[in-house]
Amino acid sequence: MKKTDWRFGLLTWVVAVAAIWAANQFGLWYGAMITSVLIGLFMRGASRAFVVAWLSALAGWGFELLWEALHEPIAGAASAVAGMMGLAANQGGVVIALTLILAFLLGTVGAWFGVALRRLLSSVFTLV
Amino acid sequence: MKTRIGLRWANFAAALLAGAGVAYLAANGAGPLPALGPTFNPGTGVWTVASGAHLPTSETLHAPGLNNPVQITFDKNGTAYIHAKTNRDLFFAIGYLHAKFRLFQMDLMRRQGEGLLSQVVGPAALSSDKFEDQLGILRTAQLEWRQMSANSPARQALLAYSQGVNDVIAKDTATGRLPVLFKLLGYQPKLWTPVDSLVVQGIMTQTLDFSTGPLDYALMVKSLGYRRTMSWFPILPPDRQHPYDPGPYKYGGIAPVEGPGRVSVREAKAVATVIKRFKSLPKTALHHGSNSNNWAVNGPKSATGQAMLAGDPHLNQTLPSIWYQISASAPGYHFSGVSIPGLPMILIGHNRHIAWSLTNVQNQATLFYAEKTSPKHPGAYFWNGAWRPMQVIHDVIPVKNGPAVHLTVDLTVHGPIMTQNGQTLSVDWMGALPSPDLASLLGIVRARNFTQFRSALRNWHAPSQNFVYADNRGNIGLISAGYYPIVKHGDPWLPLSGTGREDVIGTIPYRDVPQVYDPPSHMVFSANQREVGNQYPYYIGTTWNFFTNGYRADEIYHFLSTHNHMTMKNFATLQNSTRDYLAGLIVPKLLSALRSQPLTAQQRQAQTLLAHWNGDMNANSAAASIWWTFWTTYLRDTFGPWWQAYHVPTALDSNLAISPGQAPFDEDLEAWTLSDPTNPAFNLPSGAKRTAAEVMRSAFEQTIHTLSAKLGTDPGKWLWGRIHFRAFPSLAQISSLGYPKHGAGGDQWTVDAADGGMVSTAGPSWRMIVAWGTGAEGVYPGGQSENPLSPWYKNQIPAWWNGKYYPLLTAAQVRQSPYHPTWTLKP
Repeated sequence: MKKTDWRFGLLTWVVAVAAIWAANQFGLWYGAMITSVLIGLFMRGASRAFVVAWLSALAGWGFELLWEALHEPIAGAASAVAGMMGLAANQGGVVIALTLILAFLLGTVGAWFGVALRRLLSSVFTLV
Repeated sequence: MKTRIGLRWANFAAALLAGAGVAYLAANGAGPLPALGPTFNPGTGVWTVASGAHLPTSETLHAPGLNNPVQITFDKNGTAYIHAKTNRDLFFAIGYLHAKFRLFQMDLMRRQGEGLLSQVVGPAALSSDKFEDQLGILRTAQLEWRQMSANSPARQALLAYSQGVNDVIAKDTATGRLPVLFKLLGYQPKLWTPVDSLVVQGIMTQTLDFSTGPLDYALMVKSLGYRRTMSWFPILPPDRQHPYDPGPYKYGGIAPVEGPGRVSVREAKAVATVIKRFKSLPKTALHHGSNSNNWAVNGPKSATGQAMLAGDPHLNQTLPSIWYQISASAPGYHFSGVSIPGLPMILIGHNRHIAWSLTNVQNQATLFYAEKTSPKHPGAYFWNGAWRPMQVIHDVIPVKNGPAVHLTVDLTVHGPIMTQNGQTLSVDWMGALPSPDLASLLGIVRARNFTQFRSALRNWHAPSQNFVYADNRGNIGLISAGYYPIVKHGDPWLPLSGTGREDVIGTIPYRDVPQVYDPPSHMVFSANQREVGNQYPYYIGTTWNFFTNGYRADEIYHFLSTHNHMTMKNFATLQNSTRDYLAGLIVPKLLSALRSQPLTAQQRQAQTLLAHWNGDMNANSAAASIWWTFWTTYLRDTFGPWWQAYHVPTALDSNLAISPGQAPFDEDLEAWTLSDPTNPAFNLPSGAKRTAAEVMRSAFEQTIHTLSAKLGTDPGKWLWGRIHFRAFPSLAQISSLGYPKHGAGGDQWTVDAADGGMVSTAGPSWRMIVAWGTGAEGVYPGGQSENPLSPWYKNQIPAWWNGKYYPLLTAAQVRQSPYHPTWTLKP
């Protein structure tokens, strides 16, 4: 990987994480998906796009939980929510996992759509 | 090339499909899964439950609905002290606080009353919604709202309160800070209206006042026969009781109500249908034995000579609690006490001049009518000599994950039709009549003396309540305010004829309802016992429907009458007393029956434990286990053979099961054991003769056998706390949010009551003591916040459990304490 590619990837990731985090503050949970679509659409290399999209979605959702865990009872919140969902109260980890899996899924389908669209568009325009 | 493009189209289509699928699932959820995106979004989803658990800090908050700034200071337990410059802003602030700390609870209560639970929890709540739609709490609330004059203080209070609630709803919805259960259930609360508050009032009335007595009687008459039913479940109790108003009484005629012997096979069928429906309703839909205590003393009974008052309403003990504690000052109001989220005023507490508390009157407030109908007159009923059309109301109940249910409610002059199976049965419930309770409460909170207090209660109709009173001039009183329906003819404890000849013709005039003021005994007390003696000239209900057995009142009477110069500590001792009054009467008889009988070593050990027992249902008492198991067995052995022989339908109606706490069973057996030990009820239906002593000995043997099997062979280890528990379940019925069961003392008729069976979930929901000239204190088993992560979720439970209290402070006192965060609400 070229140094500039690596830097571009890092920059994209930082911008994407910030965008996802900001969207979440306004209840726009689909921000992770839209951001990943854009990554897939504009970043060269499908595997690179997927990796950046996954890391962005996971960080966009996960860093916020980590940050809150520094001064909020996040583990307690996970246990309480698990109880409310009919799970055992000690299965708070399931709630955390569910949150991160959802972020991962949103990133995956977003990037997949972006990459697929880019490829399709490039084929169509090449044909023309 | 074409193949490559085809593959890319296919890839694109697959990506589109997968993306749409994930997006749909995340946006809408599926089956029991909530919408995953908004629910788990770390910014505004369920995770905000953590940040919402923070205790308040001193800050300025924007509240656009206010007229002037309001200050709210919190003490370390979360009690809110409101200082407002106008009365309107005070009610706004109460609404604001309720919504900040109890919004989901409020929404749940209004949904229950408005028949809208299914909309958010699905078909499981349909039976409750259909029942509420039929009963018509929402219709009553709407009527009450329409009847309020534009300038009435109650109307103004409701409007300001709603605005305070709605400020919070709007802000928390916009910022994604709604309580976590809204997010998990996937809905947002609609704005609060004054009618919603009146619905919450209606739900409380229903919990306290709606009973199935006439239906129970009908089933008993059908199986046991009228004579035996009325002999064992009489109107007046057979044992000696302590009414608080001993008379003399006057018959002053009948005041108008503002508003509108035998059981046939068809009636019994209809009754069975209605009873079956009631079985599927939530616990709070009917009155289920949650009762209360209150008392007051003055003069030589008080250490200071000033008046003292105590009150502990017994209700379902849930997390969050039914109560939210506030203290307030505004130009027209200065009070401290407990409020119900959804209502803009405290129900129990004190102002600068008077203190008050409530217990349920327990008079009969629910009547059932067998309507005369005919296939020749469809949709009509016969009343006062003519066929009249039933009023028909069409309702639609929205159901989550299912089709909406269309419901038709038929109304007669008596009330809604509950069934048409076999017999058309309608219900006439006093709680369905408009009752200006909020206006009464506002009057009480502003009262300075008994005259004003009594006057404020004149229009209190339902639920009928015993209001105890003590003022700062040394006066005490008690008044049982509410409607007491009087029928023209017939037995109101059974389903009545709907043709008009057995209609309600009025209520007991206010001047004649039970009441006392500054009695020479220097004490007043109520504990859901029959308030009046046998000479009282009006019908107010039977032993079954639904006064309690009176043992709590007996214990309170005994304590207050044998103590002088009482302090707050004495009152706390009595409020937390687990002494069983009935045990004190019956155990000596049992010991006498066992005397000179051949006993096993184990039985002798149990006998010795009872002989040295003081009647305290302490969690560490083995004798308590023996006593309770004995009494339960003794009841079953006495009545059981009759129930079996006459096929009393206990499977259909669990109220008919032979169990302690069903007042007439306890009262009959007590009276027969003490003074009629050869009563024919002890005999077997076959004719075999038995006496009280014989049945007691047999019950004792069975008790030893039962406890041995359950707790081991050593009677010394049969501790009450091993078989008797208390738990505080979550209001939303989520087990992890409740307070798990712990071994506990008390029983159904100890002053510190444990209602609801061997795992008690009802009892003293708030304990308060006010001693004029000394101070005031209170505690409830819960906390101020409904957020399960908040330090204020269940912080008061340990103190409540250990019989401790927190002082009811003034705002000035709180501001002197080290912890007193203050919110300044600014318009």
